[in-house]
Parts: sequence; structure tokens; C-alpha cells
Amino acid sequence: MRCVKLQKKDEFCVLLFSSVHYVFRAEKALREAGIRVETITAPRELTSDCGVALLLKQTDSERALSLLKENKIPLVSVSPYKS
Amino acid sequence: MEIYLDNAATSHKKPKEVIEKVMEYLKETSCNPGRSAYPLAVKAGRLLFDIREKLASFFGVDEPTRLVFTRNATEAINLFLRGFLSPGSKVLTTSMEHNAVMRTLSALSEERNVRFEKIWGDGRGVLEPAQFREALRKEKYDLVVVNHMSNVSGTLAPLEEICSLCADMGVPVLVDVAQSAGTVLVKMPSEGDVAFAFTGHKSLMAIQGVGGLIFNNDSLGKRVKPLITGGTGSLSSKEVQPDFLPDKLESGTLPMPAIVALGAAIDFINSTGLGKMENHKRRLTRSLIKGLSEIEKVTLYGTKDERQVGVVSFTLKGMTTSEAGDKLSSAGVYCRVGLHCAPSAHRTLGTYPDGTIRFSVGYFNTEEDVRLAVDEVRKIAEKR
Repeated sequence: MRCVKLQKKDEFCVLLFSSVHYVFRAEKALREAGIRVETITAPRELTSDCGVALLLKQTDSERALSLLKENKIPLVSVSPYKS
Repeated sequence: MEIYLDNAATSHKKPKEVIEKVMEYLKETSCNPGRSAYPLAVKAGRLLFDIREKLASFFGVDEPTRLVFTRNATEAINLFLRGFLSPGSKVLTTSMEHNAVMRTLSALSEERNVRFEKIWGDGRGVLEPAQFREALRKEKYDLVVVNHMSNVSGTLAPLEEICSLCADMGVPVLVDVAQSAGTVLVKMPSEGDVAFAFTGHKSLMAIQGVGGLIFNNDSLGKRVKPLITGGTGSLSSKEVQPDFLPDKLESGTLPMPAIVALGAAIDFINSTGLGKMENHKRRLTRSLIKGLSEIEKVTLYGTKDERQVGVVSFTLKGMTTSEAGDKLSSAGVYCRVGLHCAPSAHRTLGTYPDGTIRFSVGYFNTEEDVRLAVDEVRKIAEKR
């Protein structure tokens, strides 16, 4: 697992965005709401596009998605993360 | 003695906070933002995001994706005009425009049969809202292009009224805020379709290499086609340009050191207070006008009232502007003489083709600078 701040025992999901601008906007919004996220290289198994994605705990995903909606941050996909 | 009065060309000196931030960025980050997830690239990406947000907010725009970085205001103007106008489009502009606008419109006239007409300012460079109202009633235009602050006379255009008229008539507006952003409050109107073209290195006090285009709504931004296409760090699997902002209009590696400088410059302006900076420049402008008007051989141009900020243009009887410029330069007074890339503005003021001697003040100029510069003009005038 490349994630150092998040715990190994947790299950993770990956948020993909169309633009890196939205990645950093989402990162800011989620961190301000107390959700721990990590910026990772967009996983090749999820997308062939280069760029970055956000990693967070599965248990935080529902709250995160609702925050993204609230902040009008468009999301491409949310997928389970395989370490 | 060295007195810099060419701030309309570029601000000098830069705030130390700006220089320090650029040095810090170059030493500690200096990475391509948004393309990778290693810590330095993420740090650069966050910086870019924060600066875009800060700058959009400075212009009163709450959606930072509507701000697109360019190299300078000229590129922003080219991006908008070339990306927005179609063959046969009709444009209403003014006689106070810089060649960034006029040469682009002239080129588009050749390339796409774009037609344009000018509203002429009076002998002081003043444009009246009634002139726009009349022109917009007479003819259907696809775009209005207006310079918010003349780089020749410092005259401010009645921007609020023009934008409001255009909103009522359903005509989009491109505003050249190259001189006014950082000089006076430049707030994006919420009504209608408006784009601002700005540069970072003049009154915004950043370094050269960054400018931008900012829209007051998403649909206007969507109507602009890219000037260049290429890598954006997004949708890399596709060989067609992304259709969302800012990526659609922002291909290739961005000038991050200049963008970082602009972020620090906005912090400097916000912490100093734009109003305080504007008042300082207005005081210096008044002192220049007063001092120069007391010299017999000086002819001053512009409104010489609150509609004129930061820029004072004049001529000296019996001397070309180039001769005056050389004499002032030898005396250590640095200014720009000639046509200032705005021939129509000089025709408006009646100073074409010799142009004017232009003194333009910045936040770091002092009353002493003004006094000394006026003294040098007096000496030169009296020697003739």
C-alpha cells in the first residue's frame, strides 16, 4: 500500500476527476471537512489518462460524495482501490 | 538619480514579497503542476489551484475555472478575439484601444472578414455611455471591445455603464484591463457576457510572463475556441482537446514562476489595500498634473480630474518627444515617449504622429520622485 497517512487495515476507494483543477478543489473541500485524502497517480487499471486522483477510506466515501455534490465538483468515477 | 516613471509599461520595482516567493518556488518546488502525484508536483498543483482561486476572487469571480492563464494581456486578447469571432462578425470598439486589440481586429478583418467600427473619444480620451447606446441601437454587433484605462492618457472608460448597456442589448463585452487591474477596483459584472483580459506585470506588480482571460459565466468561456491545443494533464488518452475550462484554453506547461509571482503580488495588494494604493497613485497623478501645468511650454492631455489615474501624457513646445525622452533619460528620469502602441488614441488626443511624453506612476513612486521629475522637465523646457 502506497498510502502512508491512511491505515493499512482500511479499505480504500479512488475518486477520478476530469481535470486536475477539480482534484485539488476536491482535496481542499474534503480536507476542510476533516476527511483524510491522499493525492495519488491515477491508477492505470481505472484510467489510461495520466494525472492524479484522490484516495480515501471507503467509510468516508458517502460523506465525500455528498460534499463534492454540495460544492459542485464534478466527479468522473468512484472505484475500489486495490493495493 | 534614477526616477522610474514607466509603470504603465511594467511596474518597477517589484514587492520584495513577490521576489522572495519566486525564489522560494524556484529553489524548493519548480515542478510541473498537476501531471504527477509525487510530493513536489502535488505541491505545485496545489499552488496553482490556490493562486487561480485567489486571482478569480480578486476580480470578483467565484468560479476559478473561468480564469485561464496566458503569457500576457495581448495573448489573452488574441485568444478571445480569435477564439470567439466568426467570419463576418461585427465588432464595436473604441479609438482608445491598444494595438493588442486593433492589430488583432485588423488581422481578423483580412482573415475572416470581421468588420469593426470605432467609437471616438473626445480630445481628452473620454468615452460617453450615450455613444455606446446610440451605436448599439443603430446596429447589431456580435461583440464590444473596450479599454478600461488608456495607456496613453490614463483616462478611465465608464465600464459599469457600458457593460450594463451591453447586457441589456445582449452583446458580449471584452474588456482590456491591462492598465486598470491593480490601479483601480476592477470587479466583474454579474449581468451579461463579459470577459476581462489582464496582465500580471503592470499594476498587479508580478513579474513578466503571465496574464489571463477571465469570464463572468461558463457559457461565454465555452464559446471561445483555443488559440493553441496540446497537453493539459487531463484526458491524455484522447487526441482531441478537452472541452472544459480551464484545460480547453490552457495547453502546455504553464509559466509557474510568473504565476507564483502573481499569487504573491495579489497577497501584497490585498494586505496593503488596493484603495490605499489607488489613493497614493491618484495623489501622485494630481501632483504631476499640477507641477507640469505650471511649466509654460508644457501641454497636458487627458481629463486632469478623477477620471485620469496613474498616467500623465504631455508634450513640450518646440521639442520632439524623442528629443525630450533622451534629455529626460540623461537626467535620470525614465519614461516612455512616442505613440505607446496606440495610434488611434493619439489621433483622439490630437498628438499623432509625434505622440507624447508619458509619465506613469507606480505604488513605489514618491512625491519626491514627482517633484524631481517635474524639475527636470522645467530645466529642459527653459533651456530651449
